Amino acid sequence: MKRHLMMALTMSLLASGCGADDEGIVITDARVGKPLTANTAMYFTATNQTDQADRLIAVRTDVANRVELHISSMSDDGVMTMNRQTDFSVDAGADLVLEPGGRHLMLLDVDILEVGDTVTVQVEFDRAGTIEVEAVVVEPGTAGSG
Amino acid sequence: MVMAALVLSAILTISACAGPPRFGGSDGELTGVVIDPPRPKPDFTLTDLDGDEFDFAAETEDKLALIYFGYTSCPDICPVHLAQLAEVFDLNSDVARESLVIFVTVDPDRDTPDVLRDYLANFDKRFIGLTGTEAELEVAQRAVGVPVAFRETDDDEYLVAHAGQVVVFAPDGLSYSEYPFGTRQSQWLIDLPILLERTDET
Repeated sequence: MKRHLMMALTMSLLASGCGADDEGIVITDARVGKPLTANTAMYFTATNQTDQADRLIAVRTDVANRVELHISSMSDDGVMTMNRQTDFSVDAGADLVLEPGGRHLMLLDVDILEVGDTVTVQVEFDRAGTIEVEAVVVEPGTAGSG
Repeated sequence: MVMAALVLSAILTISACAGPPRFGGSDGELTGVVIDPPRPKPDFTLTDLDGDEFDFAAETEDKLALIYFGYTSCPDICPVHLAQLAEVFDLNSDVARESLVIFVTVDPDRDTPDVLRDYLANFDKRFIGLTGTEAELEVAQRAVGVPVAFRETDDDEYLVAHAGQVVVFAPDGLSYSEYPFGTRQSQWLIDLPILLERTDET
């Protein structure tokens, strides 16, 4: 009996460790810088818990007229540029990290938002479909990790 | 089992004794990107938000001057530098008193004086906004030693590619270091007090 219990426990532990295949894509830490002009940036981490690569292809929110996928990058001579992308890919089991100075979402023609407000955002992936998340509005320039 | 526990506790003890993380620049060295030899402060004149002439060298004499070229519609990069510097001002009153943070727009068409004033007030009301003609702004960027900004797109919501670094001039009039995007808050708190001490008297 005891042995069966141990086996059952082991099995359930294994199952919880490997059962990620059906959990889709999970979005965490969604935040928006308080807009100071007609645009602002949004960041989050999307964890692809499936066994297939996926692509973030569109983002919509009621508080912005348009949301674009951008990558900020620095050239060899120190110029920061932003380049619009058609998608952000995320490998199976990997994280898509949106953060200042790298991949991010640019909200254009955005409403007035205050720190602490929450914004509902629909994030569309090619395979996983649309995921709705709540992003919190933070002080401008403080959306990074440090 | 006991052995394993001993090894584990030894590892934990060692890691706990390693002390706080150290960011480069120990022993009073700068952590920013060092400029060697130090670059002298250039002469150029722009316009402040009241419409008055701002002679960079004269206005920043004997001060710690931090200059950054950006624009208010820049959603990703510019707010990070400004938020970091606003926090440094909150944390170090000596630096706040003796420093001038100067934000020069590279988008003078959209960044009117009122737009710039409102934008900077979101970070720290002591920050100084400057503007100028396209030609004056180009002269200023070349003089400070940063790449000249340019429009990336032609539409109404155009983006501007611009230098990512904050350039700092010590009170003695020399620039010893600059700070690209990605500079950590802790680096500012290490470097600015060091640079503040570099006066003509030292």
